[in-house]
Amino acid sequence: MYGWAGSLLRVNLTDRSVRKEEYPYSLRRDFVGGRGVNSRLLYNEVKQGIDPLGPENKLFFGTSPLTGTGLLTSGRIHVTAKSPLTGILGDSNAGGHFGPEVKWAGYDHIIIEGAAEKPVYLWIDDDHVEIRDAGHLWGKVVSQTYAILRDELGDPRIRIASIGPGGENLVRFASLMTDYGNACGKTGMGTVMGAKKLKAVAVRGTRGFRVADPERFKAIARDWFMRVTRSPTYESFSKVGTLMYLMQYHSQGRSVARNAQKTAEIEYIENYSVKSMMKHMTRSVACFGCPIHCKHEFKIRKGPHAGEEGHGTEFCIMSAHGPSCGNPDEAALLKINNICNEYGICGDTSGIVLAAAFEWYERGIITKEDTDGIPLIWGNADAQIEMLMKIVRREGFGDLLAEGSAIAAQKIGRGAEKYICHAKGGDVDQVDIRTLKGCALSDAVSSRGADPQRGWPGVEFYPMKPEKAQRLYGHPEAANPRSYEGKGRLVNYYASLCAMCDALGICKFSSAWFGTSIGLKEMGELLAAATGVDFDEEGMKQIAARINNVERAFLVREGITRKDDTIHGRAMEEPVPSGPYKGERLEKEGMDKMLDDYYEVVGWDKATGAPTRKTLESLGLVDVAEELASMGKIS
Amino acid sequence: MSCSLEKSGMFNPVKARIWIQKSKKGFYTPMICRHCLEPPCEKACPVEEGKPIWRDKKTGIVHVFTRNCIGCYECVAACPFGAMRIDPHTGGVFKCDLCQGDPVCAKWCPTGAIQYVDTKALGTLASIDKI
Repeated sequence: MYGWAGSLLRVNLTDRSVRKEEYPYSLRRDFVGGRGVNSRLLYNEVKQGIDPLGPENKLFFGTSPLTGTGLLTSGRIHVTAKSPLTGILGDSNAGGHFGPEVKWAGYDHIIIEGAAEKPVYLWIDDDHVEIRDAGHLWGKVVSQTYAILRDELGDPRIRIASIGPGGENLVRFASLMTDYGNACGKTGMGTVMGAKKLKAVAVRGTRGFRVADPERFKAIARDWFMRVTRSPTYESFSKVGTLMYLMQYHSQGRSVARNAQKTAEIEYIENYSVKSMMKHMTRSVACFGCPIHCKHEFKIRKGPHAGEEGHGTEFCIMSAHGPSCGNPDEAALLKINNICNEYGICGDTSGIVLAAAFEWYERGIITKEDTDGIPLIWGNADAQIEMLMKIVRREGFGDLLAEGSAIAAQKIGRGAEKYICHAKGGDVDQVDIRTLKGCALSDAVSSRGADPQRGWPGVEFYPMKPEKAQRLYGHPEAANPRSYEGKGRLVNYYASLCAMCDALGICKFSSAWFGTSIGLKEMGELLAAATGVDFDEEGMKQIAARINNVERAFLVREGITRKDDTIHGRAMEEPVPSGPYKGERLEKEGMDKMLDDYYEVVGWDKATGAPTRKTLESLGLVDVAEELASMGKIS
Repeated sequence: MSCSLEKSGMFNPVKARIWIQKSKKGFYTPMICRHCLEPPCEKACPVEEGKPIWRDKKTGIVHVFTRNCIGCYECVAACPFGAMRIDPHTGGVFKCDLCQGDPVCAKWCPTGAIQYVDTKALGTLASIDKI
């Protein structure tokens, strides 16, 4: 077998059994790997209506045929389970070196079933798989777990995916950390791991794998390298990474502050400028095989947080814990970033939930009595850190916030729901979504709740001539961020690209999603060279559609319908308050129009939002169609 | 990765003849066999007849042939750079042979961190690792 390692590893924590299974050809041909196969396995194996924190939920780790080949950005691991945060499909991927190590150990996917009674960790050394006691690791932060395990297993080269105290305490947005400083943050994959009492997965792989056509593979890989390193964004992005986006979006009039009460109105924006952030950064860090090296290590030299060092930070965390919480102190932000990394919680979601809490406090929906005496006043970074620690430990008011903004707002009531912004429980990200209609559509239809990585059409951020938009996306207004026209095809194109990046286990920063010239055609060529299976551009489109539909089918089975495909909260209610987009709204009629357009493009029923039988059958998902029909979800 | 692909036909870092050393200060350096003038591995090898390790006087490449190897790993212990490596599957030893004078790692390295140059040119390339 070429490209794929050829085995699935199934570990049951309840009866402590370990089974190595053959990887069915039809599964890998139809879904390739990573997110694709994970989603299909999730649909097949996780029954409708189960508790995400119960033993019936399963956790899938997925690699792809390209993972661990040395191709640029081929170091990602994709993790899927039913999400405890949103109650629907949950998945997230991370870089680092963990994915390749799993692949070299001879496994394409690891499936974790059941739940252990006592804390355990999994040790995979090629064929030797062992469930070991993790009592001594429970309660330890990520870096400690990392050091202890490497010491205990006697090899500094092993790779580890672990959770921190956030995951152990079942904070609903706990992240699963690979190595140290790479997080599968969104949708609470760390929480699922915590519920299974699985503290860590440690891997050493020495088996390796072959590709079908090494010479062709090398030639294409080299070509990709050139395409990425010669793309116009490469130079600045490789130095600064995502840190530059806050300034960029601010100048475009899209940055948000104070829980999106303000748009493009940050008085202390200079504190978050590239210059100001880079002065804390000591060096760039790369994931496996990556020339982009967008990550950083930082060290704070002066001020109350002097001496703090760690990995990070990224745009979303920076904006969520920075301007969104009214926090003008970038050093405090880096401290918070470290807490998120060490305690294993999603930096993005935790910032958004804190920002919401700050606003509830400002509006008197909650008082000092509710918050255990902590004054949640905008810009009070100490209060922010204190509350974050309460979330991690699930103490007092932190226990409520640890449920995530949507559930917390529902429990608080008193109109708290008006001040959050989410789609299907996933928080809308740190850009004013009202100024980007295509991105709003992408958030509304995303299979894991609002999320930029599910296919935000990046083209909306930069002006494009109508003729070019017509040529590329089939409508002259498609790239216009203010227009509701032609968005269906645009979003489907970007969603397909993102789905294939996730299925191929490569970073979206190396793909056309990010402005390089690596699209579905190039992906098909490389995949064919790696696996020897006849993949091409048309095939890639089919696979992307299959992934999109099987994920949608999972959502439909869980009870999601067209009415859930929208953005809840502030973005739909109020116009943009300030900046160049002042007065811009996200209108219900506009959303409906875009939804109709999108459903038509992807072949879903306009009334229910479920994939039609014809669509499912044309993609070979006959069993899915049968099941949905037997449940009365489709005709 | 190109090394393991060339030498073993697969992507597998444990079969690579080159590896990256991370210093305490956080610098990364590619490491391979130095092809010493007086190789400690050759000296350490106890095999008398048909010595599996020898240095080719003409090219300077230190070769290792596993046919006569008795698997004592004395050479592994003797190398001050850790360049002699053990294959975890076969138990045999292997190391860099400079691909007989045309190393794939240098050809593959996209940033120019690995270059294959004449020692005389080294002075001008002082800041670059020479292999």
